[in-house]
Amino acid sequence: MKRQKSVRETMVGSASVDNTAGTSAPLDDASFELRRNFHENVVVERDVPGQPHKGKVLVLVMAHADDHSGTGTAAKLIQEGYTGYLVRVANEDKSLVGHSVGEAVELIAEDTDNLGKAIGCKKTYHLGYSKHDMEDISIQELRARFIFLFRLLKVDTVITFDPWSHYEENPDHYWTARAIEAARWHSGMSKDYPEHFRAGIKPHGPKERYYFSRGPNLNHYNFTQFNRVVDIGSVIEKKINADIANKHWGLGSSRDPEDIRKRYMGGGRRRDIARRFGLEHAEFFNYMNGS
Amino acid sequence: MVSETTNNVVIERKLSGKPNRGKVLAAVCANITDIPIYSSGACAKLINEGYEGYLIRVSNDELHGDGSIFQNIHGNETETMKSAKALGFDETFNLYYQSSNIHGRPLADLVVRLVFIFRMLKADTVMTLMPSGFDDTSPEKETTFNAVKQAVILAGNKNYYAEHLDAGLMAHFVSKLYFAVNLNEPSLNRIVDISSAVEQKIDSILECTTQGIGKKGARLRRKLASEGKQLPILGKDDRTANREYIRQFILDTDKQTGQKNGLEYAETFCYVDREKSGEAQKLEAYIEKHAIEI
Repeated sequence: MKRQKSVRETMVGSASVDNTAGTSAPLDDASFELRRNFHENVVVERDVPGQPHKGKVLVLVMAHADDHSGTGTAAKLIQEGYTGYLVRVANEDKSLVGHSVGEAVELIAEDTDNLGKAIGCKKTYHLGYSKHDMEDISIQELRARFIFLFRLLKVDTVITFDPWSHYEENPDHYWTARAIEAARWHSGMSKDYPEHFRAGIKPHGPKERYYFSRGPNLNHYNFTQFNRVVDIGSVIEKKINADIANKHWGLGSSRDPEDIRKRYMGGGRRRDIARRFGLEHAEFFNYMNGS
Repeated sequence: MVSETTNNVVIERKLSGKPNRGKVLAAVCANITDIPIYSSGACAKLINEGYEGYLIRVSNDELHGDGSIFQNIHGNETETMKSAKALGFDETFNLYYQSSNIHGRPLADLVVRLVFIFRMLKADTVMTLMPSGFDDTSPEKETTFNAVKQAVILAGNKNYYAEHLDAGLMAHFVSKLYFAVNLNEPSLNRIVDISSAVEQKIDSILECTTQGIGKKGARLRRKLASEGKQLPILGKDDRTANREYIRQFILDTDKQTGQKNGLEYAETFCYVDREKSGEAQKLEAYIEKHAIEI
C-alpha cells in the first residue's frame, strides 16, 4: 500500500504543486504550462502612456509572412513612440498551394507590405531567400545584411525568433534567429565590415531583444522559459488587421476576416494564459536588455 | 589610344593629359603582391591618366612571410598601404579574410562586401587577376576572381541587396574589366603599355618585404658577397640591389612582352567592355551595314 502510493506520487510528482493543505495534487494544463514555460520572475509589460519611446527604432523580423508572434508588441511599441521596420526573410516561393511560385511570391509580398502598414511600420524590407532552403544559405551573408540594417536604421530593439528555442522544427526560423543574434552582437563593433563606415554608417548594436518562440503550447514541447508577458490588449485590433492583411497566406485554416477575428477574440490556450496574468491578450517573450 | 596587332590583341598606349578624370578604378587583389607584380603598371597608368584609384585586398596574407601568422598579417597590412600609395591609389580597403581558410568561407559574404564597395565608389573599371595559368595560383586568388566576377554583375542589379539603396548607394554598372592574365592565356586580348609607369611598378613591389620579394636584391648581393662574387646590376647598396633585381628578374616578362609589340614594357590582360555586349556589337555592325536614309 505504502509502496503503491509512493509510485503514484512519483508519477505525478514532477507536475504537482503543494497546495495550502500541504498535500500534492496534479496541476491542471494551464498551471502546468505556466510552471514549465514561464520564469518565476516573469515581468508583465503594460501600456505606457504618451510616447516615451519617441526617437527609438525597432525591427520586427519574420522569417515568413505568417510569423505573427511579435506583431502585437511591435504595434504597442510603435504606438508608444518607436519608429518600426518590418523585415521578412523568405520569399514564400513554397507557400500558397494552388498558385504558381511567381504568383505566390508577388501576392504574399504585397500582403506583407500591408501587414507592416497595419501595425504602423515605416517600411518593410524583403530579403527574398527561398523558403525552407535557408540552411543552405550562408549564415554569414544573412548576418552581414542584418549588420548593415541594424547600423543603417540605428536599431535599438529587435523582435524576432528565439535563436535557442527548443524543438523549433523550421530551419528558416532558427537560421534567421541565429544570424540576427550574431548580427546584433557584431553590429556595434568597429572592425566588422568597416567599409560601412566609409559610407557614413556608424557601428550600432541593438541592446533590447524580444525573442518569441512556438508556444506556449502543450502540443509542442517547447521548454523556452518566457520572462516577459506583453499586454497587447490596446493594440489587438492592429494585430488582427495585420493577420487579415495576409489575404492569401497566413495563420489558421481560413483567411476570412471574420474567422480570423474569432480566432483572436474567442477562447483558446493563449487567452487562457493571458488571463492568468490578468490580461485579455498577450504575447510572450524571452526578453533581454543590454550588451 | 589603342591599336590592333595582327592577332586582334589591342595595344593600349599611354594617353596624354588626364582624359579619364572623374572615373573610378577599383583594383581587387587576393594577396599583397598580386597588383604590384601583375598589374601595377596598368593601375599607375590609368591613375596617371586621371582615374581615382582604390585598392581592395581580400586576404590577410597571414601565410605570406617568414614571420609568425600575426607578424605576417601586420607586416603585409602596413606594406599594402605603402605599395598602394606608390601607385597613386587614393584609398585601400583591407577585407582580411584568412588566407588559410578563404576557400572554406561562403563566397556570398565576399560578394556582398564587394558589391557594397563597387556601389559606394561607383567603380567604372575593375581590375583583378585571372588565376588560370599562373604558377602561384592559390585558393585566395581563385576565390577572389570568382567573387569579383559575381560582384561586378550583381552591383548593377537594383534588386540585389536593395537595402543598400536606403544608404544612398545606387545600383551601379561596372563598365570595364581588366583581368590580368598569363601570356599564354587564350583570352588575352589587351596589352597595356606601362613604359611610363615602370618606376612606379618597381616602387610598389619594393614595399613588399614581409613576404620577401622587395628585398631579394639585397639578399642576393649579400649572398654573392659572402661567396666572393658580385653582380654589377645590383650596384653597391641595398636599395639599388632591390630595385634592379626587380627590374631584371621580376619585370623580365613585361619587358619581353613590350619589346615584341614595339614597346618598352607591357602588361597583359583579358579586357572586357561590358557596354559593348555581344548583342550590342552585332546591332551596331548591322545598323552600320544596312541602315538607309528615310
